Amino acid sequence: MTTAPTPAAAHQLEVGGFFSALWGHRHYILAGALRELKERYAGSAMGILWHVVTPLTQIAVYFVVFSRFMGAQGGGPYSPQAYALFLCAGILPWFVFAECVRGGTNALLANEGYLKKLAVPEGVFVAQTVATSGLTLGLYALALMAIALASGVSFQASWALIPAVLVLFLGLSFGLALMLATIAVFFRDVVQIVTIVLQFWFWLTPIVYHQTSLGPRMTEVMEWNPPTAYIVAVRGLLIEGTVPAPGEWLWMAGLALLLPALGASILQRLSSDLRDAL
Amino acid sequence: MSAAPLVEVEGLGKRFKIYPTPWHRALEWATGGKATGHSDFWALRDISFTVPPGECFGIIGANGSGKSTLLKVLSRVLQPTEGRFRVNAASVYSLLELGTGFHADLTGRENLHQSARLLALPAELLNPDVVEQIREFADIGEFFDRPIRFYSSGMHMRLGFSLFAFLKPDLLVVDEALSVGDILFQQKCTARIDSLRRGGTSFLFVSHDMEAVRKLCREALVLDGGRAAFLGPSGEAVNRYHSIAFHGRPPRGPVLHDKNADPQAGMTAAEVLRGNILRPDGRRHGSRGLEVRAARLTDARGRETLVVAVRDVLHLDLLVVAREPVPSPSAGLVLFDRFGTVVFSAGTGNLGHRLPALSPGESLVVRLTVRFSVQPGKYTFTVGASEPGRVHDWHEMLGPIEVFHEGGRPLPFHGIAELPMECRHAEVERLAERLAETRDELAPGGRAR
Repeated sequence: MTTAPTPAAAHQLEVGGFFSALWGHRHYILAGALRELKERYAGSAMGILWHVVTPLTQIAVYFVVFSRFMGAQGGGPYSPQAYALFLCAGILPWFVFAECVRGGTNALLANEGYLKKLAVPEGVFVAQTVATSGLTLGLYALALMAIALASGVSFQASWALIPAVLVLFLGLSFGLALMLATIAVFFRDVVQIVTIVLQFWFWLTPIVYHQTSLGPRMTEVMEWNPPTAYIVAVRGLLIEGTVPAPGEWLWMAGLALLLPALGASILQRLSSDLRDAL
Repeated sequence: MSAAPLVEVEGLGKRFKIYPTPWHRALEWATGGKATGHSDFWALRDISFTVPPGECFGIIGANGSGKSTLLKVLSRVLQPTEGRFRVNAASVYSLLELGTGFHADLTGRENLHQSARLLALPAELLNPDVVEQIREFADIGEFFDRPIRFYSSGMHMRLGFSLFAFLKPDLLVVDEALSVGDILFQQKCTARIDSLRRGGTSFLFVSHDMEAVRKLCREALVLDGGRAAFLGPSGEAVNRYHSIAFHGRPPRGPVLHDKNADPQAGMTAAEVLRGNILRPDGRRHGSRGLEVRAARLTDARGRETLVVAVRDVLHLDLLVVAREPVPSPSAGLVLFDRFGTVVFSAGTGNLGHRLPALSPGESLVVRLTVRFSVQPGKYTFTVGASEPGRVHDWHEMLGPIEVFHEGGRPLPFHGIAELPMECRHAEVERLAERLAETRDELAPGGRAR
């Protein structure tokens, strides 16, 4: 038996209910993510390779600009080769994060047609965007390891923990996407604003340089910047073989749980008006 | 009957908040709702009804009366603003928009899987046996395994209905789904719904097809402006609906501007009524859901007349009035010669001219401009309004129109009617020589064929 929530009880629908609804649609989410990925490159001669080539081009540009013309080596004692790896380990996860947030923000608006007619939970469409990005991230993780091996880093046991960090990073991305997607339904300008904010965010994150290289003030800003922890952790695991301290894990896991929960509760709170606004 | 009702709706209401700009919403959020920036629109108010298990319950009303909103609330697409409802069924499916979940790049078969996942339909739907049944039911041949971007809209709908045809839900919410595809497929759908009904499935049924509502449903709810105008036996509900629709209640909300409208001088209801040539005692048939209230003939200069020169035009203005919702109206004429032969018959539909959908009480003047490229003589004609597969109102044996030819000049053509013909010619040549050459060329090797 199902009973409609009375308006007062509407936002009491628990966050747990939100996630169990997502779980119920897991096959749709995964199939859709795979299809989306296939579609993106179907019909292009190099297919999935573009997924790797596009960011590599950007990495090459940053590499040349920073290591050759500006003489900086990520602010650390790096050889050019090591700097290239350092750059890859920062940019590839960032790319996925940015794609998640940008795509996720648009996820509900893009699926307006479904939301207006079908009783499918809203979160499904955000989750699908994040799942697509997650598949890309998996691909990037493999690419990172290949690049590491090619640049002289030998295989290390710490690599086994990289997927864990990346999954947590996706959790954070999902939470952010969920919040922004909900707000974007009511204020469509959010989609544009997010694109602009991501530009600045990139430079506030230690991607092309080491987190300490911009002075103590910026170091602190970067420390509180959520993506920093994940990128630093991936780098450490990949290059130096350092496992993040328990406090770091706690911070990363905390964000990865907190933001989706927050996103889900914002969505639940606004859900009574959400589809009316589409 | 003490069985618990399958659907219980109590004081249900749905309000939409209309914000003039996003800033108004921002202001409201910023002040925690103290400053209200929106106006309210109640799409539904005070709706209560119950549906016993195994029944088919009808919901009828004009466009914009709140039917779709009610179904969306009951299907949990929208949340109600007030009141409550209860659906005591384990499985409920909605045929709100057939084929909504379909993806253009996937084949019909892949789309079945996709939709089943999206709508969380039971897994047994995707058993190869069931899929085969669905494929046969949809009857779209090899298109079943082609991407649906190649489908016609009819095929799209067929696949959409077929997806649901083999589910056996406790409650099926149906919104106009029976108007799918051609008449044969419609019959198939109706038969399928009948068999589901016999199997114990209940229905919430929204339709503009009053005959279907009367036949299928025991009880029905009539909605008018978001409120219940009547709740009771379906036959009475249909009558009540007609009386609301017909009693010229002004249409709610402004009539939308039709950007395809292209009126010429004289195309107003008042002028057509003034020059009306339809006789009250004339021969007439059809179901009259869309009535031809008046017809007028004018010549190229706007003068009312029944006389026209060969190859000149007459404007036939028809004033059509909807007495029920008419989604795809069309108007046309048939011209007969003195032997009763159909000389010409066409309508807006034939010309690919789409008329706007009409709601009860709305009227429209349609102008058919006909060039009388026919033999001089007397012609009777029929005018009518219809919808695909349905005759609404035909007026027969009108006229006669007299087509004349001014003496002294030759007729531009002979026969019943002039067909579009073009003439051209090439340069003068010496025919004999050319022929001789051709013969020589062809003779020796027998190259010709």
